[in-house]
Amino acid sequence: MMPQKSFICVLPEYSNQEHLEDIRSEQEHESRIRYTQGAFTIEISETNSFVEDKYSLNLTTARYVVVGSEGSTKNREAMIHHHPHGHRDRHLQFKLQAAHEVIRINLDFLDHEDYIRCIKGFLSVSQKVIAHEQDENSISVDLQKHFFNQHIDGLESERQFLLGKIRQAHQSSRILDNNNDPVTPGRLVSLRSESHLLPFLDWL
Amino acid sequence: MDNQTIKVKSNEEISSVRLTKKTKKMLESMAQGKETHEQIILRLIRTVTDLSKEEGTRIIEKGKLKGTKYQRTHKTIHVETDKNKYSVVCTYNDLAIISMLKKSTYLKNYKPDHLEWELDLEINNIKIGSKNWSDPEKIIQSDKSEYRLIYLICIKDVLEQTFDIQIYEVMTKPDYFTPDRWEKAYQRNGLSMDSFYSDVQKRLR
Repeated sequence: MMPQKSFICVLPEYSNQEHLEDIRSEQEHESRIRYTQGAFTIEISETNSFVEDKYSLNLTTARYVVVGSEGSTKNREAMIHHHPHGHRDRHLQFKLQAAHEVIRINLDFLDHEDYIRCIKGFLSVSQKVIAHEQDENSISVDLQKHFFNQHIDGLESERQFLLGKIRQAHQSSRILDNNNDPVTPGRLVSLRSESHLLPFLDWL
Repeated sequence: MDNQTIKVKSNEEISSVRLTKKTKKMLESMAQGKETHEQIILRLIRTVTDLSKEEGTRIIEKGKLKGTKYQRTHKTIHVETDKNKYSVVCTYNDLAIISMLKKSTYLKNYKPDHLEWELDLEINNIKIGSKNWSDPEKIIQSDKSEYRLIYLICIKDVLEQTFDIQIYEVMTKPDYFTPDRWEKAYQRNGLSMDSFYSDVQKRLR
């Protein structure tokens, strides 16, 4: 009599247990690591639904900026997820700062095992995004150690696997914009200016 | 500019739907137990919604082969044993269509009684009293017998709700752990023996 079969639990294996939070509600379980310095927050979270086939691994940053007399929060988000409603395929999703745009990269023909490899690849790529944020925000704390344990170093082949899948998605026009239109090669090059997306385009 | 104000009230308002006496009687004839008019309508709406979903459990026939492609559904069940009160989050196969086929005299030629199914109920989350939600594995480790009882209570509740039946053969704690009592209930209600073997008997070993 084992609990739920479809539960995906990757983050705890590669995270710094000291900073890992475990949040359990009636219908969801979330594992989360967060770092906050002043007006800047970066977070990795893994969420499983207890009642639906729904999973998400998210990397988000939020920065409160003041321009003139007005303040606003700038969010960036990258995720690998699937859910039973809307875009049902297993996919990567990026919320871009520019023009509030969303980019989706559909991961076709993945069995469960390959999906787990992509999730681990996403975690590996997250290191580069976090390193970029550390530089950009002049954070003195070692964020790699804050978020991850030593096992994260063993995920290079999963990173390559995920990048290969993203390349395949581009070749089969499965990188889509807000309107579900394929992203053109020219547009893809310009997307390299998005720091959350850049490490996922390392194959370009 | 549209200056419309959005009002939010704390209670739902009651409407006055006008029905002919004949329609009202027809509606009442569909009641299960002591259902109110509203409860009957809500149940009918739920049934129609379930059946018209693009997704949902489907019965597939190819030649002499008949199979079932299950859609999963979920429910939080509140349970009380001699030891504790629990809230239990379960997922299981949606059997609404099979229940409807069993009830429909028009579709009797379909021989739904010959259609085997199983619930495949999983307990995914559990709360003891007013404590925090926790992994069911913790109860399995600490008190396997109690976990088994909770699981069987959930099975009974889902069967009763799905098929609108009363499983009076299984009432006390010893009843839950007696396969014969479950078998009698399954046979009396024309439930699938595949379910009896996999959802009940196998779990009692």
